[in-house]
Amino acid sequence: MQIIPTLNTLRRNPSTTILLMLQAILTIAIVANLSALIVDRINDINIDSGINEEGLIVLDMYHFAEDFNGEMTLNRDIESLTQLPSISHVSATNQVPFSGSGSSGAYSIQPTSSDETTYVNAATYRADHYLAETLGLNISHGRSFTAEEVMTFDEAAEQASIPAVISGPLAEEAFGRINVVGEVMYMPETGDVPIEIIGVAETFMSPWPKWRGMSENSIWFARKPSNSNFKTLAIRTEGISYAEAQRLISETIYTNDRSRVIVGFENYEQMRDRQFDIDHALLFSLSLIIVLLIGVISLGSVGMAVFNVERRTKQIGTRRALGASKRSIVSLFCLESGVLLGVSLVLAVPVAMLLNVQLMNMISIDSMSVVYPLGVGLALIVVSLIGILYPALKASLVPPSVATRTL
Amino acid sequence: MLSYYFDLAIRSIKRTPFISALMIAALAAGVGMTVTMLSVYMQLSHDPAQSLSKQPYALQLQSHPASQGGSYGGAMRQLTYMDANAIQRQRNDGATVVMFKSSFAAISPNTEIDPQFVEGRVTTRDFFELFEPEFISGNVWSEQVDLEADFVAVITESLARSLYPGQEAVGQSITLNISEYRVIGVIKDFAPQPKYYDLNNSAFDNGESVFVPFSLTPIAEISNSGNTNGWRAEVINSYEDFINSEYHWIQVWKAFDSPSQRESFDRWMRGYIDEQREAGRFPNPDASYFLRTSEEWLEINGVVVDESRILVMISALFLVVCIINTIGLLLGKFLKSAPAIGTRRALGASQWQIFLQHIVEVSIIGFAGGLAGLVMASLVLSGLDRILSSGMGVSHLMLTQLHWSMWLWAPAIAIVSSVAAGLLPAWRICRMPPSLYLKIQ
Amino acid sequence: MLKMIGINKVYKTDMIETHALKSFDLTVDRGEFVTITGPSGSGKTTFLNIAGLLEPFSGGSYYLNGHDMAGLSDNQLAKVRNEQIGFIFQGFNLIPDLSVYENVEVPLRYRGFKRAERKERIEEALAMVGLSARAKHLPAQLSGGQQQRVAIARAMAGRPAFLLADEPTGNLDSVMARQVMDMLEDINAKGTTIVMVTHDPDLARRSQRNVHIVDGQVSDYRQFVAGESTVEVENA
Repeated sequence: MQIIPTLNTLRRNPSTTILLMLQAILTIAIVANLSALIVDRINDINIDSGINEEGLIVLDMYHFAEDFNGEMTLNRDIESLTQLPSISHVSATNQVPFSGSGSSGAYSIQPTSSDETTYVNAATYRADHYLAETLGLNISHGRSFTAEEVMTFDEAAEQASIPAVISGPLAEEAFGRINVVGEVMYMPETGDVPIEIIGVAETFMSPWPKWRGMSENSIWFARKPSNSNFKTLAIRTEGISYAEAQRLISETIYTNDRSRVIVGFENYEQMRDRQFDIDHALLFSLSLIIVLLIGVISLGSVGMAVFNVERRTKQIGTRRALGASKRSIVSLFCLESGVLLGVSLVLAVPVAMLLNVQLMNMISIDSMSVVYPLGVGLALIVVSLIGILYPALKASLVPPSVATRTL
Repeated sequence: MLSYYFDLAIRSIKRTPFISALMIAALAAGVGMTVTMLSVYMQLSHDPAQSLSKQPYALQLQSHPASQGGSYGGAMRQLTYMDANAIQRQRNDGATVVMFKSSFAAISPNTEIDPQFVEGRVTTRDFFELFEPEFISGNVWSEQVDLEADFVAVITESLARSLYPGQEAVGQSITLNISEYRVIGVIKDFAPQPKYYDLNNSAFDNGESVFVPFSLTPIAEISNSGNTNGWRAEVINSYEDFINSEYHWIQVWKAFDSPSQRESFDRWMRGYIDEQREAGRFPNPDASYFLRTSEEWLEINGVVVDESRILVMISALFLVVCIINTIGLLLGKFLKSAPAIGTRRALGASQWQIFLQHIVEVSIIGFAGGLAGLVMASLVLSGLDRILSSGMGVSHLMLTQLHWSMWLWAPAIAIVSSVAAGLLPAWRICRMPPSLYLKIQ
Repeated sequence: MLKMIGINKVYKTDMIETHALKSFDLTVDRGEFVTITGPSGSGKTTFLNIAGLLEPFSGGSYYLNGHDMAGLSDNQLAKVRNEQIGFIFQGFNLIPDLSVYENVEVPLRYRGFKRAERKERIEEALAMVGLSARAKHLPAQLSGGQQQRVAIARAMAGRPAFLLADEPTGNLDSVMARQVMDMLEDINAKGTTIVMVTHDPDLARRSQRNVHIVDGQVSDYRQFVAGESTVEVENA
């Protein structure tokens, strides 16, 4: 019915039409891609570490005494800390999931190293047998360690086999399945001595959430603390404030041995967040751009629609004089922007996909689902139609007499 | 005439306060985001070594099997102690910096002051010559100390203040872990950003506050607190095992006074590589070495994160949308004033004069948008600073400070954007046949 | 003063070509007061636009003050309009957000006069139309007749040799219309050539010569001699 005059109006104002369409196409393409990027990064940030993060405290300390004995000092620390009523478990470990630094190694399912040996990389946890309970790690197959299995590297290397707990993804990558309890692996450091898998934790993340091919692979050996200067304790607290925990724990640590400095004392959540600081900054920036973009184009579109109505006041008056109802004037404007945005949406989908390809070249991100531009486009159409109502209603109030006035 | 256009522009802007504010806000948003992201990008790609008097080169040695390691421009980022030490002992050809990061408990002779954890750098005398930290008092150790170790240390101003409050630090003793050192120099706090000379752990941190001679490494058994990488498994039972291992953990930098010096060093390096390969230490038959300029080194180490490039691109696209939006509004606004323009044309204004009048108006809007954009950029940067600096544990993050060049870029971007936005509308209005709008007003 | 020989003007749209002026010839001597009449669509407005250099013409030649107007650049045309032609419109065409003073100032600004000279000329022009007291008013605060007088002041401030008026009294009641006509006659008496488009035969009769246009061509001339009745002149 009104579609032909509508198309004519759009054709007769080519620059305005092109501008509005260009604006809509770019907006859809940008917002769709940013939304996809945001969803992707939120998923990254919320990735499951496989442990119970609440109430977990990570303590880093640095020893400087000459006669430092790591094993003895840490055993004393663990003993006295667990005696505190608000602390349930303490574990001496070299690293925790998402700690950002730690060690890793190459592991294989073949005993001898040759050029054909294929290795799987995994984060190497060296911790006492308290680690699973302290972190709240869920050993889904097999078992955790016993106290007797905790030994030094040299002691372990002399055993018939070295027990280990591995993460599900590592099992999957090495063996193609999860339940690999009883299977053996090898590492170059110990040559032919088999690593016997005694347990599998379905999810047990490495210290590096962003290290592709490594982030989900972990292997845990029961080791006594070494004499390295840096020591890490994972501490499970219950019903105690952070400040109170900090006071109590530091007091205990310094009472046990004054020849050290507490270098880091953090809530697990705090430490975890640190690994995602760039993602948080990116999310902040992208969200800001989306909000500003929507603000600019919605206000701008209303502004342009107001001009459009003012410029066509006489034409609208003529239409009214010729018998057009107020409703038909409103629907004329809605139809105009509807057609314009509909065409823009069709054009915006390939543009959005093109932008996505460009982004994929610049950053590691999965290709965007076409749902994003379509969803954003439809939302834009709905919002714009609501936005056009005000100027359209204003237009419908133009009295028919305008048409007959010269001034 | 320009003052007349200026006067007309101000009237025109005042006449449509809402639309003018909208255009200024749109430009401010676009310019603000672009300037923010450009600033972060510039800070990331900033090369502090550009201001040094000598061009330093990062040295990479590709001694490992070609199949393993080498994700940093075909080689590992660091060298083994053995190779680094050999290069440091051959010290005829230009400045040589050999170093690694370590951590210490720093203990003041004043027992009332608690031991504190400090980051330290174990390095050669040439570190100070090449990277030019500024001495406040004292000096660096002599060349002799690089060959025959001595327990001396250079510390930063902040550390000096906290260990020896109110006292001269040079000449004092400082205990690092269990060894006692003599403070021989105090430098201003030194933390170039990005920390181009050691990009292992983070390109942005607070730097180190104590510097001790590299020659002490085997004597004081100073442990590495930077990265240690290996390409084969080794059993390490002692510190001696560690420094004689094929682990890569030492950074080496060179600088040359003349091309002939560089040639001479090149000859020596080739000889050294051949010698080691023949001795069976370097399994790679094509073992070679690379000298990277600081600029190349920052590039190889990926200091400019992908996220930053993406944000520059996206914010530029956003700016384009803001410009398109402004074009639409200007077009609407200018066309509305067509009758008055028709009258002006009849009264003797040329197209060019009408065009200029409108360009002056959009420039004023652009200038206001640019200023507002700068304000916005500094707000967004302080937001980013809160997110990033708490994460990195850095007190003052250069990254989130407005890069100096933005004072030039921001107005330039704003004016160019607004003129770009105004070009089409101004052209349209000046090309309008005047007679069209004269008959009926 | 003004000489048009064989002027053609064609408007083209997608579908039709309209010949607004066809081999149009007209000569206006210095000091004359000529009225142009004709039915709607006869080409009056087109003639005015071409005479006022607001529209290009498709063929023929146009001499103003002895100079050929064909092939002049936009800049040169603007300069001619500014310095030699004054415009008066039916709708007054005052710029609504400029005061009376500033409206009169517009052509002087484009002429590049210094502030003092502008002030002198504006005051003189406003005095001539009797609106010195209203200099600071905005057009909307004035009556229609006052607005048209401002427009006359604006047209005359540049002291043009040639005044083009398009139905200057069309929007005015008869009292005000008479005032404006008196003013134009006054201006003409002081030596300014005037060409006025009108549909009002009474007004046409007050001029020295009337040119009637039909279908883009001059259909007849009437020479008026003060106080006497019409003398028919055979059309050229």
